[in-house]
Amino acid sequence: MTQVSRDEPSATLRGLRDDERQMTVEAYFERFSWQPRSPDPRRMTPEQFFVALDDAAFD
Amino acid sequence: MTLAAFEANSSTYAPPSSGAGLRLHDRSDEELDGLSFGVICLARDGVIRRYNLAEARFARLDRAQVLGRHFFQEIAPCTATPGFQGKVDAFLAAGSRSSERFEYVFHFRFGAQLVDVELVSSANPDEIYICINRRKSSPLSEDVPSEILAAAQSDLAPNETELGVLRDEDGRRRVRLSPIVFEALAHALDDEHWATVCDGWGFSWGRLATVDIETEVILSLDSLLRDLPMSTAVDTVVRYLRREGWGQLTVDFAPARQGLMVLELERNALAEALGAATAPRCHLLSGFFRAIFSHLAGRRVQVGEVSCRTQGADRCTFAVAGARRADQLAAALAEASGDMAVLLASMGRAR
Repeated sequence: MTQVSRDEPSATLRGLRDDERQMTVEAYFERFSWQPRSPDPRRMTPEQFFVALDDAAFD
Repeated sequence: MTLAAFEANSSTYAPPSSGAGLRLHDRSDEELDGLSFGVICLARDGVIRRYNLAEARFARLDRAQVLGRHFFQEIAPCTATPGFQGKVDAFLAAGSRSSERFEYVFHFRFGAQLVDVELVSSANPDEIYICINRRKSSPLSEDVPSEILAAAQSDLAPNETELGVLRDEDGRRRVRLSPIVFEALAHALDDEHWATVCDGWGFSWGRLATVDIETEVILSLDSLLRDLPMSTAVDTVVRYLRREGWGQLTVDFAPARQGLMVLELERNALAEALGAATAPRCHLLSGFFRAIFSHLAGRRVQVGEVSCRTQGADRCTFAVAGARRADQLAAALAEASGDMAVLLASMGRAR
């Protein structure tokens, strides 16, 4: 999976294939299940959230 | 599912399978009520011997009115078919010690439910256990004959309102309980017993409430709680407490950096009933939250009340941590004495 950054979408998009370049950044994130650098607890499943809580993953 | 897995997950939802290992016959009613799928025990003649909480919730029937009745004739005529009753009769006749699974559609007046059914042998050869896992619900088709529809609660106990029986829209019996009952209970118990009794009571309540919440999610979202995003799962708990009149719950995920989730309950019915106190008094809700969030997490969590309306706070605040940090949470709660900033700092230092 192409590593992308929300901070530099244009730079990321330059490295994409033509069809991928037509997508918006948000759609790209959606399509490739982009994971944010800091996990969003509200979007995690309950099990993922509590595992992360125990593992200090939000630090 | 093996017996060990069943025991390990007895408070969580899991579809029934590998029935020979389940040994449902050996499980107490309390254990069966902790399951989020339906369990019915039938005698060889079709009379209902056991009926768990989830099944009562899915079928919108009161267990007290169901036990002792004939399942195929009185409760679920839609199952009096070769595809259901025929399989049950054949299973019993064969004296099978294994299990059998099939798909079926239940027809209720309030809608249809696509279910997975598993027939499970019992230690008693004259009875059978039926595990029912709801997969999808849908509106009732107009071409379903009314005579095969499953019984409604009003069929089983007509005119019961004249006898002072109240029910909600899902057929569950209700009692209008004044919060002064909690005040009276507080007067009857010293502080130590209050904490112990209420925490255990709250935990048991939370375990049963998870079945209620889980069934609601399955029917309304065709999903399991554990598969929802955390925010949506938490919203189901918020709605449950609001509907039951306990107050407004808000959940703060920001303290996750300190290994905590923080719950705030405004207009907490329990705290408002108890009056002034020098220490947090809402052990009932701490136990409730511990059960609910342990179920959601699929692992044990710890809950402590940080500050309480009985102490003059404008709301009751609870901290939720993983069980691995239970000791840290207890120490931080003691150090904080109700001050959330101190609690967070203490938890942060312990990382």
